[in-house]
Amino acid sequence: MNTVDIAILVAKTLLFYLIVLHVVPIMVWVERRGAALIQDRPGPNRVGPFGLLQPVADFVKFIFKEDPIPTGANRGLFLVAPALILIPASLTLAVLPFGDKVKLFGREILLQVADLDIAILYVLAIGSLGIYGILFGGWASGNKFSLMGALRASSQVISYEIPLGLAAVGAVAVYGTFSLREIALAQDGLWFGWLPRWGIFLQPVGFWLFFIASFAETNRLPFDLPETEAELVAGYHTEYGSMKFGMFMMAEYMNLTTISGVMVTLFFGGWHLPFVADAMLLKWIGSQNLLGLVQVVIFLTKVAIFLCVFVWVRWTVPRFRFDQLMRITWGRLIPLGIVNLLVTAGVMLWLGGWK
Amino acid sequence: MTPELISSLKQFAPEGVIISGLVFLFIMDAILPSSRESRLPLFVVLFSCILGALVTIGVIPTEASSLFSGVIQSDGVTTFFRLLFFFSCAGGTLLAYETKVLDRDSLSEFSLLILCVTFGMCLMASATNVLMLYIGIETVSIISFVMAGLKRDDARSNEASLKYLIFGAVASAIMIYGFSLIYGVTGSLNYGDIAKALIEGGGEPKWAILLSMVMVYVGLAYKISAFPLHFWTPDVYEGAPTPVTAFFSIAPKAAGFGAAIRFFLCVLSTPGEAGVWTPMALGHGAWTQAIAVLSVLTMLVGNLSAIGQKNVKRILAYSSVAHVGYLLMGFVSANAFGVTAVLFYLVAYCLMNLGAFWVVGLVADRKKSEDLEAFKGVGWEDPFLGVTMAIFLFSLTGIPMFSGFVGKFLLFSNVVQTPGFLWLAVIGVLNSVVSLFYYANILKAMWLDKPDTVVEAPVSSVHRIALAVLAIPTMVLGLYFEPILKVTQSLVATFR
Amino acid sequence: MSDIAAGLFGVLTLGCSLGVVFSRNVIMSAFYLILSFFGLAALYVLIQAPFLAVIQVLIYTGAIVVLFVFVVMLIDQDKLLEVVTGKTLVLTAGVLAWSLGLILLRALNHSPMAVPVSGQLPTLRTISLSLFTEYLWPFEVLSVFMLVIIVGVFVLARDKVNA
Repeated sequence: MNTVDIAILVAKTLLFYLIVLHVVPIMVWVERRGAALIQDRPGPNRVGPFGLLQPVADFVKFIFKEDPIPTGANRGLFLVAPALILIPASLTLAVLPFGDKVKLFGREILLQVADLDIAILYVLAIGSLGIYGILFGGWASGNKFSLMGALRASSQVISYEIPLGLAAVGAVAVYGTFSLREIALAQDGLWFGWLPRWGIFLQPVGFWLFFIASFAETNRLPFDLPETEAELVAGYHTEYGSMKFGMFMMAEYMNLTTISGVMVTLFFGGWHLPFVADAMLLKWIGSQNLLGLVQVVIFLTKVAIFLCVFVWVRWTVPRFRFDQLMRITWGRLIPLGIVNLLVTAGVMLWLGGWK
Repeated sequence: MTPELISSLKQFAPEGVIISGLVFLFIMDAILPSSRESRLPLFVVLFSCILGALVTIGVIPTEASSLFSGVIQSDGVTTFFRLLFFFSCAGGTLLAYETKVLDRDSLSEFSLLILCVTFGMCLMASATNVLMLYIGIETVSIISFVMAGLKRDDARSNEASLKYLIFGAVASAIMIYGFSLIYGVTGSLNYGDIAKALIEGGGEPKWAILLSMVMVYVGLAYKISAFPLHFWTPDVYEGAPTPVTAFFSIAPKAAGFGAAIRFFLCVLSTPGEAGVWTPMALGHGAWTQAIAVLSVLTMLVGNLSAIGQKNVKRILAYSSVAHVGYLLMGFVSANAFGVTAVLFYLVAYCLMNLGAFWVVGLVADRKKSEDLEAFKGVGWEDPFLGVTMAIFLFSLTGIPMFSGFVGKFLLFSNVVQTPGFLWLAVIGVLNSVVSLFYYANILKAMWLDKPDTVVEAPVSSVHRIALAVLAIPTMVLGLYFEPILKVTQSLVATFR
Repeated sequence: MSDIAAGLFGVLTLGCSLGVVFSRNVIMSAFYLILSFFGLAALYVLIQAPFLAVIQVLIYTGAIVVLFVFVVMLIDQDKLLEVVTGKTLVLTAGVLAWSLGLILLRALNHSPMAVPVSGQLPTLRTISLSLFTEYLWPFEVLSVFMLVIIVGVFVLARDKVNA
């Protein structure tokens, strides 16, 4: 690991982290304008053209707002909780494959911060650490409503981790590897000359499970009981003002981005263009590096589509009650996940035998 | 399915019967709404145990075979323990259903839990792989924690369960740390490979081995309540519901001894000719010397602590600790005769202890208390109970003409035949004399004291039959023990 | 380089474990527990067992400690702080722990440790293969065990059924 390698690693990390960081204010705008669109009203349109500078205004407001700490709160944990939720949200980005390779400085650089052999497990593991920010934040606020919100949120998250994991395992079984890069690579090309080799055609049920579970994992409607405005004031982040609240929001959107990224990688072809094989694309574009850039753009576009779907669902569907929520996961999604796994294994055995 | 797997499964059929019973109970409880009140779970458990015992006799192996890639060994000792466990399971469940200690709605879960513990115990007693041993121990332990706490409205039951859990978790953690040290030094989890690595390692005292064996002893001693891990026994035995205590005092202890037999004789000894093992030197002597010292301490602690107790269940708990002390004497010779003595004593002990706790359960049912006070005059109220309790207690003491005496005789003669351990036998005999005091205390209360309140409660015929089934062999085995001894010896002969 | 990292993570793990034991507030103990598990996971990575590290985080930190924290948060906090610790208790425990640690150190330094049997580092593939061939039976037995555990939990935690 000489200096150039370390420099490249640092540059990659910064680049991809900044990309995702910038998604956050864009998402704030998309959320508010999308909500307005669905609810047939204008939405923020004062600050900048189409209200595009609204997130900037929000940010400035956050900086100047008072940052209270409630008297009954546990100071240490209260201050640490936003960091506790932001750190896992940032760590999971490390394994998202934004693109294939570029050739710079005489070496091949993967467009992925870390190509782990066990990337999916890593995502699940670090993702499950996000609960602690919610738990400690809710408890340290010294507020019964926050505690209730926190407990609800965490029991929801750990319950929905299971179908998430089961769906991911289905995809792993089909592709035979835990590494996100290899799964993305395996989705290159076309079947029968016209169908892209995407994961969703191999694991439709898995995708459906993963999709539903990802709503619950990120506390988005229809599973946002922990932070409902009507019932619990604002749930576990009631007592948090200004920047700390901003950090919770950032963490939520970064989680959304990561989960969308994982969904795209597992089920929608990663960085591949839909009906065009990578080799053909390379021929059209010519340079490997430019291809890398195009791949990153394609990946981000797919992620953006998913983010819009998340926003769309949020403002369309009513939320679930807590017991309905629990019944869905334990009674329907987990059995469905197990059946999916069995069927997948059965089909693989039938088609290929032991390997 | 590889052919090895299929042949292993055939050997594993008795445990398969238990698992089928378990699954059947589970499904039945879900499907039949009225199963809460019925006695169907009792019949399922009894049927599984009887069928399991028959299948065990049907698959008695003529030679030792290693199953499932070496994690389980099926030989005569396995057969013996399976029969013992099935008997205890049936006895415990019958006691639970016949006394009024447990609520009706806990009983179907009790049946499920006891079947699972039986399964875990069979695994424990036949494991030849450290991992399998640990899984067996944990299965038995964790389900036992739940069983100890079955009476949810009784604070003593909750206390028993919690104490059992906390101390058990610590003991298990220490044991598995010892296992990890063993793996680090020998590179294998299989008993045979560990033994080979230890022998090849040479003679100088290896600190890691010594330490790891101490740690493993801690875990096993917790299960059998040997010194110094005996302290949970009185609290848990007193607090848990009587049928659960009856089961605890015989079956998991026997399972712990099965595991200990296999561990000490397969890992820490080199097999010699025809049923003689050479114990390995750990530190400054063979481990047999350490076991002898621990045995003495266990006996002393058990007997001396039982003297001052006022609650009959606590007396019986300390007495079971003392009996573990006697049983540990069977390990000092490290030969087939020692193992036979231990197994025979386990049979006798199982009958005696189950009977004693049965009587305690019946008395507690009528007098609503388990103290010595409650036992006053029971002998005259119901002579049948008095006589059977006298039989059990005399047998526990080791008075001649009862099976307890024969068991102790075998153990003592085994110790005497081993050079250098005469002192152990002497201390054992002295301890038996001491134990007469507290057993006689119970009998004195039953026969020689007048009761405070006379409660007329006829004992149902099921109880009479059960007590007779337990008491008669206790007496008969005191005189006519040849067949059982021969059978046990032939079973041990297949042990490697 | 990896020695320094091992030292740092070791210190982290041990320091946080001390925090677990000595912290006055139970929630802070849970927090230190999480950090010490992280240190442990990092140590696993340093001995070339990344799978174990991820599983440690996923299961221990991500599920088990969460349940600890649930329970602790629902308990009355005032009752929790009435913890009995006398100076003598702490001193005795400390002395015993130190001596055990020294014995362990001596034992681990003076005994030869065996090399892994196959001589190669385990990959995810070898782990899963051994789980389904050599250790198949413990794996299957555990499933029965878990089924009954669920029943046991239900028995301990359900509401009283009105007769």
